[in-house]
Amino acid sequence: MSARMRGLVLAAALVFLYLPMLLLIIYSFNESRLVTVWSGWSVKWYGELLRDQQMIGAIWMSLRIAFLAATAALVLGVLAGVALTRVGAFRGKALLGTMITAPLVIPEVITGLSLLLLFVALGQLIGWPAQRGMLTIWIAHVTFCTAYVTLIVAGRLSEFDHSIEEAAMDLGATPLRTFFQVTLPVISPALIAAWLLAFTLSLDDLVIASFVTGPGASTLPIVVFSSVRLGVSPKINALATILIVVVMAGVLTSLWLMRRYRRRQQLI
Amino acid sequence: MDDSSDNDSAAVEPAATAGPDVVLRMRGLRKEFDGVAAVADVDLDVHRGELFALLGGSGCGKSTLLRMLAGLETPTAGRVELDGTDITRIPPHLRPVNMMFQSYALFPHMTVADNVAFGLKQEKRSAEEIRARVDSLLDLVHMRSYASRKPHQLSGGQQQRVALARSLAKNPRLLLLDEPMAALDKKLRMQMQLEIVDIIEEVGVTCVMVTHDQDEAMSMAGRIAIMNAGKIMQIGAPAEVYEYPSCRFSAEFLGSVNLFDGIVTHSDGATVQLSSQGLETPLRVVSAMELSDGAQVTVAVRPEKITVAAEPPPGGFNVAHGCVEDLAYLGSHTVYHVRLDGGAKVLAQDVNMRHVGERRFTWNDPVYLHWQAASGVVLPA
Repeated sequence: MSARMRGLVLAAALVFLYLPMLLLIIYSFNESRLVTVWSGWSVKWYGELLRDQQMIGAIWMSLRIAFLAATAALVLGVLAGVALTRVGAFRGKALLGTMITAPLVIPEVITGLSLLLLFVALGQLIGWPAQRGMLTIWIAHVTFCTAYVTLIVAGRLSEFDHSIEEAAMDLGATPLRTFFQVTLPVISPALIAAWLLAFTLSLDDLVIASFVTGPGASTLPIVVFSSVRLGVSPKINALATILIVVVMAGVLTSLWLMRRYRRRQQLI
Repeated sequence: MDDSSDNDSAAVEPAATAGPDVVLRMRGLRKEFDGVAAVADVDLDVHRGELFALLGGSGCGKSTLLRMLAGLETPTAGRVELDGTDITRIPPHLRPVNMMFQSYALFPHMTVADNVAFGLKQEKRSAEEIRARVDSLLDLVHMRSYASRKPHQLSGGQQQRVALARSLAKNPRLLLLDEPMAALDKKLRMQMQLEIVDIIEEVGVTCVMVTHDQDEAMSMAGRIAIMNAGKIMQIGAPAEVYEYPSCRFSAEFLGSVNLFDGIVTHSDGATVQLSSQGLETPLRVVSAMELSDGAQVTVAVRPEKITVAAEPPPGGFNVAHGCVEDLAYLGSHTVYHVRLDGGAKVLAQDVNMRHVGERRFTWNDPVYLHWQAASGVVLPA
């Protein structure tokens, strides 16, 4: 394929992927009340958005859930990653390795439904959770975010030169100190990347959250989805633009961190 | 763990026994992986202050042996004693043993100074003490001006110096070097070999190194153990191991060698005489071995001990006649591949004292090979 053809194919693919988003971003600056009719540049819908208490509340809720879910998933994912790559053989290791990635391939609807059934059954059996809300969404998000974090951490640990950890122990560090003073700092770029990815995934999730949510706990995607069903307000365009920017920033930062880390590793 | 008290106890210990001062003692040390022995019942003594090399090909068990000394592998059976204390089951972080890893294993997120200080910080020493010790170590390896660099900003040789300084930081009673030169290019190797030996001698630490490179082992170590298939084949000073191989394996492993199979015809405790098929004359070897007539043995002769001549040499032993089949000019010397009349092939090395134009022999020249009785070694069959 000639260089020109390659360029064309690449451009076509990028247009296909990003044209809708680009249109959305442009229309978020539309002056008109009607989403599909262009009538001039304006930032008034961003102002409208900031005055919408329900929207602001949902953003705040989503950010809190995403932060807590990413953090909990990071802790669990690191533990699982260490178990899979550092502990040596144990009973059920292959099973753990396969099952931990299952949430990546199981349809979200099924994950959401099964979690809902679990919470309802638990509520009836032991009275907890008494009602669904932020806590249940958080638990649900931790389950699938952990899978992603585990994959990233286990991948990083398995390509990590084990003799660095042996050197730390040889120099008098206990296994625990070795983990905190050597292993974690060395893989920290991967940890940040994994956390950012988990944060973004949690922020994006609509399906699972709408299954396990309850009264008073509306995340941003839920609010957006329900308000769009009543008719699209240009406010949504403004909100979507902000979301795209935030999510892209998160993904790009995590990619950049991973790449920088890899380049450094090669230099050693 | 406490260095000062160790020195005291070492001084108090009576030096009654005349033998060498053994620091490290391995007895029946064995390591199996999935039922296969990587190290098979090794008994070995390492003396105080010496640089001891474990030499062998890949998979001979030398690295596993070293890792057991560091505590990174647990022996299947046997015992390791350091200064008379059994350390077989002591985990690596509690052993007064430090290792320089093959890949150096520097901590990539720490500066040179922090790398060297890492071991000292684990002992909770005061900040001033650590700083002084790190400075003196970096002076020792000539890396003081690089103290604030990160490992990825250093060259291979510099990384090695830092790794050496880090492994010496805690004044280990035993220093382990795992293939110390493997990651360096050839030119740097020679220089670093001498430098590392100088530093280790200056510090006076007992050292065990592992290598597959015989030049490295011979130039650095005071004593060498040749390993094969998890066993130690021979132990001795470099010259001893090279000149007097005790078995076929160590004769062939170190350098090149000519082996002649023969049958003993005479043995008097000073020399052994043999007859060998395909040789003009009997073989005569200086050897104190008492061998019965008719015994099957092998005689090893190094190529550089064999002289090449056009005329039949005087004497009536250790002479072979053949044709130059091949020759390799190596600058300082020439290696002749001589096909004997009996069909065997013998290597002979001739030092090039003249210019090449005056080379004495060329392809297909008939030549006589001869060596002194003291040059051969009898290997038990």
